[in-house]
Amino acid sequence: MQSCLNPKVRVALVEDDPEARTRLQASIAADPSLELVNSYTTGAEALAGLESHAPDVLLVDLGLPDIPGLDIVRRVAGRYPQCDILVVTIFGDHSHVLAALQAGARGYLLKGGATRDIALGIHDLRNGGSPLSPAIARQVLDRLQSAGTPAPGAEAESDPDESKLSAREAEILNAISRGFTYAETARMFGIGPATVHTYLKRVYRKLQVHSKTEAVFEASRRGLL
Amino acid sequence: MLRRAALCIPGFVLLAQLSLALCPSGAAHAQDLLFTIEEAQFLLSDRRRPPPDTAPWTPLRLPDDWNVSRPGVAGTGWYRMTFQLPPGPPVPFTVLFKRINAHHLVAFVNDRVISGGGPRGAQVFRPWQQPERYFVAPALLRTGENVVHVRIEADASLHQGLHRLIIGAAPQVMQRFRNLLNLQLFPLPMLSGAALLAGVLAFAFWVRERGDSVLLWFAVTALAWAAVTWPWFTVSGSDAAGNLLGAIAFLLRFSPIPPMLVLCLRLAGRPMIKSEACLWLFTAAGLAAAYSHGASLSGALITWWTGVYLALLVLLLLLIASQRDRRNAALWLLIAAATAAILLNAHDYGRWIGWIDFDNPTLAHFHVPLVLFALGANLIGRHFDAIGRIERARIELESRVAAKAREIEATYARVREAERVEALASERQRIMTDMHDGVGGSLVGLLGAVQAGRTDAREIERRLNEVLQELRLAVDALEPVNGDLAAVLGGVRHRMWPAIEDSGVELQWRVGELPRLGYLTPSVILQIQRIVLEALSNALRHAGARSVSVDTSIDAGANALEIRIADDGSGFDGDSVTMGRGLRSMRARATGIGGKLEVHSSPAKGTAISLRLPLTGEALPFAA
Repeated sequence: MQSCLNPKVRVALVEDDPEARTRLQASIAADPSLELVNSYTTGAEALAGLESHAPDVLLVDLGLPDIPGLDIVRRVAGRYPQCDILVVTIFGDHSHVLAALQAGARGYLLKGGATRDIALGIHDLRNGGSPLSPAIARQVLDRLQSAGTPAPGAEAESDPDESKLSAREAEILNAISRGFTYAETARMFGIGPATVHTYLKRVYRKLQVHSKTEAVFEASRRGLL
Repeated sequence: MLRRAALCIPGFVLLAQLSLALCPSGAAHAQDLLFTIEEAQFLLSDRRRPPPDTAPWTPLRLPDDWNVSRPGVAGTGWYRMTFQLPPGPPVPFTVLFKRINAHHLVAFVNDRVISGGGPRGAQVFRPWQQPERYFVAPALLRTGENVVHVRIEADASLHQGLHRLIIGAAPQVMQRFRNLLNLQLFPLPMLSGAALLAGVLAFAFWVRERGDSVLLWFAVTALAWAAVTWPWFTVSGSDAAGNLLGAIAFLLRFSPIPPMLVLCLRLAGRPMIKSEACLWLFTAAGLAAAYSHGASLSGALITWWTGVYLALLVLLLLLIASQRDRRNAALWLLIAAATAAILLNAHDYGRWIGWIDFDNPTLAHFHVPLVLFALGANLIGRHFDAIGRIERARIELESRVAAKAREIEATYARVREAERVEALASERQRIMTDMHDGVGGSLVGLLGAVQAGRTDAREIERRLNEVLQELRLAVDALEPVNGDLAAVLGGVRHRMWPAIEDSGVELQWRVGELPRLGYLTPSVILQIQRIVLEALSNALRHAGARSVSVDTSIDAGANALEIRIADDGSGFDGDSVTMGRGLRSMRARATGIGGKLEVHSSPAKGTAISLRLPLTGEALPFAA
């Protein structure tokens, strides 16, 4: 809710590659509504630094040298729920993005995108989530719909409805998976674009819950729990 | 002369006659008097009244089998017996004949007829062993010696004669009489009735199950057993002699034995044709012997022949049991029953030839229940064996089917694995080719341009972006979309979003719900992506269009799905369209994935590119 009080969005980034870091820094600096509060070069540094300076948005490179990017996402998402996390990837392929979303990220940015795309992505995120690619929307849809029947043994740990898609959420994901933009999707269902974002936020949350449920189920199946 | 005693019975019939042995003894009271008369005098005479005491009586001991004591004689004879009655109040007496074994019999006590039916007597020859009793009025008896005369018309060849007489107070004697009925008479209808029922039942089963000859032989045996008793219930005329009658008696008494043997052989194992043939020959020989000897010898023949049969049977069964499963309890039961039959038969034979007390009842027929029981046990055993075999066969079959299924599954898994490996190899090959022709080629070209000094930064950026775009498309093609073509089309739009934004062309995106396609492998996806990308790029860059539309439609009748990319731009001339290099490559790509590309272009209406794909189909091999 800081963004309501302070119009400047406080952004931090974790990126080990100097050039990429420079580009990201430049992109943020170019947008007056964004304020770069910190840039870290390693995961450990970031985790330590975030203790004192929690930003509104954290950009995380998934390929850090010391700590796997997904671990940082998971830990930050757990510790600072009000901080939105964006992962930075070259291709935006599902294996990276889906894992990041499940770990608690709210979206992804493409490395090598135009300067303005970085800022746009951050603003999209603040409005509810960055655009999902149709293939990833399809993946999320398939994954959460098959979760309609929750895994046995998972009920005790989490409410099965927590990771179940509502009919409207499924419709919206379906439209996105067919390549419709958020605006087109909003028009299609007679709702505002902000509502689409709200729905997607819920979907992200469910994806995160679902992944935890899956992990619990998997752990109990393997006898770890 | 007079003796108070239990019957003298050989040990092996003790069980059957146990009740008879429990007779009262040593009582002084007249009510308890019971005499068994063993000593008598005999006179061969056809007088109607008892001969005087002065006649030439010869002493003998009862029982008296004429065939033993006076072979060849047929005529009328008198027996004279006495018993001492102690003083006491007069009580009604009864005379008991254990068996009427004569053509005619008349009994006198103290010269008065006590048997019914007038002076000739009512009794006629009965082939079976019915006991008879006559009442003696107390007035006929006197304290001290009393005399009993018995007149019989008998035939030695029929083993006729007189058994021991039992005289005593009516209640005791009647008890004896009832015991004898129970032992000698009543078992017959019960046994033959049981045999008849079993035979009918077995026959009914055989009618249902013709294949099982054992059932038929069981039925024949049991029915023959039922028939055996028929002559025992009939009262033949006084003249029982005659070859035919003897042979018939032989046949009837004998009829169950050959089928029983056949049955045992079949039960014991596979049909033994030679053994069975010998059996029938032996039977025919027995019949011939009985016919030639007539009734005179039939009794002995029956018992002797039966004994041989049964001995053969036991031998055969022992032989079979020694070769087969020794734990087959039912077979051993059958051997035991056959052995018991031999012993019972031996008893009867011994009785015929005088080695065993002639008073003993014939016992051979008691082997009917034994043998029927053993045979029944064998049949039931066979039944359960058959059920067990079927069950084992079923389990065996199931396990074989399961093994086969596992085998097939393993083969299938191997085939799938091989296909997967091959698909992987071809996929790798495709990616290599793609990298070489696409990204590799672009980078080499760019490198050349940079080396040649044509280092326009914006041009380099543009071309690098193109390379990156190409790489991203290749990555997109690898994304699992579960056969969702709409997601593939959406992916192309997603990747082209900046270009579409920049061009200012209005995009009308009308991608509907599409059925999942089974053949959407990464290579097919890549071809579709490139076709759509090329079509869209053409529309954005060259056509000068204001709007571009992407529509999908399904033509279920033609089993086809259509992607239509249309613009309202300047269009092409028909001839140049077909010559266009880009269009030619699009068409080749469409053909390669089993689709069809159509291009309609006219200057007035713009360009419409339609890609038709099959709705169903397996994963297609990549076609370059």
